[in-house]
Amino acid sequence: MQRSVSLCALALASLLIVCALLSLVLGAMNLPVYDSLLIVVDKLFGANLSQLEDYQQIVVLELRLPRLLLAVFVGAILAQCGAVVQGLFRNPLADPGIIGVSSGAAVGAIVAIVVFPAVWGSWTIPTMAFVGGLLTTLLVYGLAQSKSGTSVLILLLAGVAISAFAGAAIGFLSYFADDASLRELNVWQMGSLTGANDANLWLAFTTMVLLMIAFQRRAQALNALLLGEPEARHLGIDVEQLKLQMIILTAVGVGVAVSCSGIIGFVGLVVPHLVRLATGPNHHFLLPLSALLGAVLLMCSDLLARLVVQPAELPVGLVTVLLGAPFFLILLIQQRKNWS
Amino acid sequence: MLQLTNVSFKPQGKLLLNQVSISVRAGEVYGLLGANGAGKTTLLKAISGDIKASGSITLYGKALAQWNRRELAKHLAVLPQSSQLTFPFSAREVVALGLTPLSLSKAQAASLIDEKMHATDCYSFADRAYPSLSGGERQRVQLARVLLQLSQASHSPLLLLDEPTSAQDLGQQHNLLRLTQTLAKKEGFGVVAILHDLNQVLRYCDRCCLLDQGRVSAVDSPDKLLSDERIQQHWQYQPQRVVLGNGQTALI
Repeated sequence: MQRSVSLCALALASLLIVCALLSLVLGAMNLPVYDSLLIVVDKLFGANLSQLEDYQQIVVLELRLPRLLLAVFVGAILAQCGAVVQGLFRNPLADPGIIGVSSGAAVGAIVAIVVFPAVWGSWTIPTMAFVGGLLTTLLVYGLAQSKSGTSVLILLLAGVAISAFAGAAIGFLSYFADDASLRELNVWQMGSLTGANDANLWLAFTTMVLLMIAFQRRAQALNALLLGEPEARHLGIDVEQLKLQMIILTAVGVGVAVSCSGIIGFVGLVVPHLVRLATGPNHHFLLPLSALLGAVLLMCSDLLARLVVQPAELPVGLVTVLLGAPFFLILLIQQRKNWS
Repeated sequence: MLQLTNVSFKPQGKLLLNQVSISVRAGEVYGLLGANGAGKTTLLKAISGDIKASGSITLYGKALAQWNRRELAKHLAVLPQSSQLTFPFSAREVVALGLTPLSLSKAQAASLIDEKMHATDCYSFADRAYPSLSGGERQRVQLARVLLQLSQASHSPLLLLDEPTSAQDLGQQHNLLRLTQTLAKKEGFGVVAILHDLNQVLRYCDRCCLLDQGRVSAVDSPDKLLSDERIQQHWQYQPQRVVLGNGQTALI
């Protein structure tokens, strides 16, 4: 087990580096590989090795690099939140997107964009996205709890209802939005990494690190929770406190991810699943490996989004849904035999 | 070690436990008997803290609510009747969950896990996925987990068993009960078990408590408690008795 975990970690880390390099050099404007890498080294260490022209430097440093970093941070956040939500609901079909949490966060963000754009400065959108995500998580969790555990049917149906409501709310708000807000709204709904800037990079990075630490500290408790709530309680875990902490932390994660990049679906569903196939459901390994694979997946999706229809580009949320939705259907087919 | 005084539980106006007072000693296997709906499972849940009953429940003289969670988990464990676990943990990983309240070095933990898996006869499938195991195998894995959880107790621990033999074949049922009996006799465990098979009660329990509509009807050693009249009264069944070669009685 330890060996397969190490191998997996090594493979994913290598993949992350390769994808990052490809993301820097590939795109609508083809740049020399070697110099594109050197300019990053120049930027980091204040050297002067790269031969790139000024406009080419801008493409690498101000467009591609922030974007790939945001993909890494948001991918890692979403994948870990997915793993935690699946553990919390004790169901591999749970995902912040599918159960409606991302939609709730998006409604919060859009209310912030349209109704009161500048109340708390740049914190307005993330805060409102967090509040929307938190309220939705609490609502869905409350609805799906029953004496016999968590009802998957109610979970998924609540997700459908909340996503529909969110869609309507977003439509309603966009009716009142001005042109600039409308463009921003489109980005939220499709999911895009084009808005990467220093402020949201720092926000996403800090959130990713904090979530990694907080989740990892609770990994054993999350493992015990998979046995069932009474069993976890008998093992000395304060289950109610654990659930509340995890709900708040995932709402923070999803809220920040949505505020930085809009709704990016299915990363939280697909990634923990693939990692579980390789190394099992132990959260000690599942959480960090999911963060790595989430980063790789979102970076690759963004690369695809930039390359497929270049010089134009697709919203990255579209790519993850195109990849993730069939995966979800396959999962449903596999689970069908457990339900009948 | 375990003392219940006037424990009652009345959710939504329905009295499920009515002034139950019993005590369980270290080193004994204590059976909870009664017809369906008599309150056996409710009583076990009250002891394990899954439901909040009124009255007093103390373990080593200290009310359960006053125990530190982790300390309590080291001294009181529940073997569940079935588990909701659907994620593909290996059997060994499930057993390792018993480490949750403990503080052990990696090497100590690994050797204790092996020891408990040998003791419950599940070492041979340690690396198989838990959901792929049979009902009986799963329960042995859960027992190993529970024994691991109790391995750092400073007093004799209390083990609660909710119908421990329901998913087992005949041989496994006896192996499991023999093991719990050994734990009680050799290591001083207090064991409280819900059992349906009265012959198993006669063979393995030191004392038992007969429940009827949430109240204690009788507490005694099994051979005294299980008279023909009581069995007829509580289970509406007239048993026949066969005296075995070793002098013990079996009910048919």
